[in-house]
Amino acid sequence: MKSLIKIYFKYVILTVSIAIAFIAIQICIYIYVGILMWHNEGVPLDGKYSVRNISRQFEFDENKNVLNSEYMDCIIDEAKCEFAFMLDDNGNITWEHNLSDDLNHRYTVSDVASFSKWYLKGYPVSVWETDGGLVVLGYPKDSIWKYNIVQDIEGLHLLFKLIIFGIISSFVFVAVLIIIFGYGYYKKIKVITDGIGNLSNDMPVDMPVSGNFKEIALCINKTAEKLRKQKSIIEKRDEARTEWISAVSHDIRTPLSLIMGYAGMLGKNGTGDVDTITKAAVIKEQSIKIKKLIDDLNLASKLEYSMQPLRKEYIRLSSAIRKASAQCINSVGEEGEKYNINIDTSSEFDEYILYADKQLIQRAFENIVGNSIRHNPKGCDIYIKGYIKNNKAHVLFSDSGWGIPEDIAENINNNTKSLKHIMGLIIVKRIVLSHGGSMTVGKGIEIIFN
Amino acid sequence: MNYCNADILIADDNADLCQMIKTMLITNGFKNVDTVLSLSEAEKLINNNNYSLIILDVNFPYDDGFSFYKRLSQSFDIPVIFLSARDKNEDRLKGLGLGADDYITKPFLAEELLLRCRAVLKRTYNEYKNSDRIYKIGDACVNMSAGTVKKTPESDETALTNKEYKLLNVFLENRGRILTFDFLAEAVWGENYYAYENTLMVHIRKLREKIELNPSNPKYIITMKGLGYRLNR
Repeated sequence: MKSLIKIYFKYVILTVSIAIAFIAIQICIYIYVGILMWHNEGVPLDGKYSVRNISRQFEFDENKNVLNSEYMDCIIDEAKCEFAFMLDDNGNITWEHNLSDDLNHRYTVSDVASFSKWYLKGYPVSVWETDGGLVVLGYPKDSIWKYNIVQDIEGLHLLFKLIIFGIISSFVFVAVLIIIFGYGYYKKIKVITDGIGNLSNDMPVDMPVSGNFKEIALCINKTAEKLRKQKSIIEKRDEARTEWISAVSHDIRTPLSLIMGYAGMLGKNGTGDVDTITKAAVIKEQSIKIKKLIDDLNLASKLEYSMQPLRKEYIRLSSAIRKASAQCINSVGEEGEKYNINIDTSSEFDEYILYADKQLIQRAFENIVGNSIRHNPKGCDIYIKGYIKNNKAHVLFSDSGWGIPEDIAENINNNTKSLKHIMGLIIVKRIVLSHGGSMTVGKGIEIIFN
Repeated sequence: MNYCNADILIADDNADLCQMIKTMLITNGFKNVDTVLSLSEAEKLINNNNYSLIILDVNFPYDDGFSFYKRLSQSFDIPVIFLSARDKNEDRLKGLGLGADDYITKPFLAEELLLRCRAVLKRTYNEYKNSDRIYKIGDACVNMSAGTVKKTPESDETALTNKEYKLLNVFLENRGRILTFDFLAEAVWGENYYAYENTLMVHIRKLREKIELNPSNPKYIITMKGLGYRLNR
C-alpha cells in the first residue's frame, strides 16, 4: 500500500502546520496585548481621569495655593480615587482631599521615592508634577497592580533570545514528537493495510494480534480464514464439476462410437432403402455434432476453471491464422470453394510472435472461421485483418454473411450466463482470456493480444 | 498383398463396440477378425496367431493398453492402432510416442477407422510390393519413386530437385487440401522455416513449370491468396 506513506506524510504536514498556526496565533495575541499595554499611559486607564489630565486641571495662585479646590474634589470623586493630596517641594501637604489622619503628615524625599514606585500604606498611588507641587492620587487598596520593572539592556537581549530559542526548540520538539508518534502509528497501520492487501491479492494472511489494532487484526485474520475456506470449497466444487463433465464426456464416447458406427454402416450398406439411408445419414451427422459438443463442453469447463494446462511456446499469430483458415476450408471439402478468405496482415504483424498455446490459439481461430462457414451455408467472404497498434496485436474477423446476432454478441461481451447457444465463441473468449488477451464481439470479432 | 486376408484383432472391454467394429470390417471385405474383451485374452490370441493388425483400446479394467503395447512391441512387430476415449493431446502423443501406427479417439467415424486400418496395412505391408509410386496430375505424370516428371505423355522425363520432390510429396499426400505457406516451408526446410517463405514461391514456380501446361495460369498447383497452395485433384 503506497498510499499509506502518503497518508503518513499528509498527517505529519497537517499536524506540524497546525502547531505552527497555533504558535503564530499566540504570538499575534501577545503582540496585540503588548501594544495595548504600551499605549496605556497610567492609572487608571487613559482618558479623562488619568493622573495627567486631573493634574492639569489644578489652578494655583502666586503662593501655589489651590484655587479650584471644590471643583477638584468633585473630579477626584468622579475618578473614584480614595484620596488625593499635594506636596510642596519640602514634603509638606499643601492641599488634600479625603486624606485619613495617619497619612496626613510630612513626607520625606525617601517616602516620595518609595510610594511613587511602590505603594503608600497599601494604597496604590499615582503622582504627577504640577506648578503647585506634586499631585498624589490614592486609589482603593487592591485595585491596581503596580511594580516597576528594571532590566539591563544586555539581560533584555538575552531574554529576547531565550524567548525565540524557547519558541523554536519547543516547536522542534513538538514536530519530532509528531513524526515519531505518527511513524509508530504508520507502522501499526501498515501491518493492517498489508494484511488487507494480501487479502485482496489472495495471499495468506496471518496478522499479529496485539496492540491498539488488536481487534482489527483479529477481524482481518477471521475474514482471511473465511475466504480461504470458501475458496477451497469453490475450488473443490469447480474441480468436481470439471471432473464430472470430463467423466461424462469420457463415458459417452463409447456409446456414441456405436451409434456413429452403425449409422455409418446403415447409410452405406443399407438394405437399399433410400429412406433408411437418409435417416442413417441424419443420425450420423447429429452424432458428429454431439461429439463436437462434448469436446467443446469439456474444453469450456476446463478453461473456465483454469484446469486446462497451457503448453506455451513462441508462435506466429499470422501462421496460426493461416493454418486455422486452411483447416476450416479443408474440413468442408468441395464446399470450401464457396468461401473466400481474405487475409490482410501488416508486415509488422507477420513478424509478431506470441508466447501461447499453439493448439488452443489455433482452435480459437478455427472456431471463429468455422462459425462463419457453418452459419453461411451458401458461402460468404471472410475477412481477417491483423495489425499491430501500441505494441498489441489486433486480429479482426468479419464476414459478408449473417454476422453474429446482437443478443449473442452482447451475452459474450458481458459474460451473461445465457442458454443461447454460443459454446464455440465462449471457448474462443476463454482461450483469449487465458492468454491475457481481450475479445470484443460486434459486427465482427476483435481479438487483442498484449 | 490382399488386405482382406489380413488377420485383425480388436481388443476393447466393450463387447458392443467390438462387435460393431467387427461387423464394419467384415462388411467391408475383411475376413479374419477376432475380438477380445481383456488384455490377457488378447495376449493368448496374439501368441497363438499371426495377426497383421491390432486395434487396441487404452482403458481396460485393472489394465492399461499403453503398458500392454510396450510389452507387446518387445516380442512382436505387429502394427497397432490405438482406439481410445482419452482425447487429450498428452495421451495421443504418448500412444504415438510408444510407436503405435495410429491413434483414433472415440467417438469415431466407421469409415475413418476403415481408412486408417487400410492405410496402416498399406504402409506396413506395401514395401515388398515395391511398385513405383506413380501419380497423374492432369496431363503430367509423376513418378515419385524415380523422382521424375513427364509433362505430357509425349514429353521427356525431367528430374525433380530435392526441394521440389519434398514439396510435391506433401502436395500428393494432401491432395485437394489447402496447405499453408508455413506448413509447406516447414515440410521442406524443417522447424526454422521462417526465413524461407519467399524462397518457397520460387520453388513453387519451378514445380509449376515442370507440371503445368501453362505455368502462369496454373490448373493444378493453385495459389490460395493469403493462405498457401493447393494441389487440385
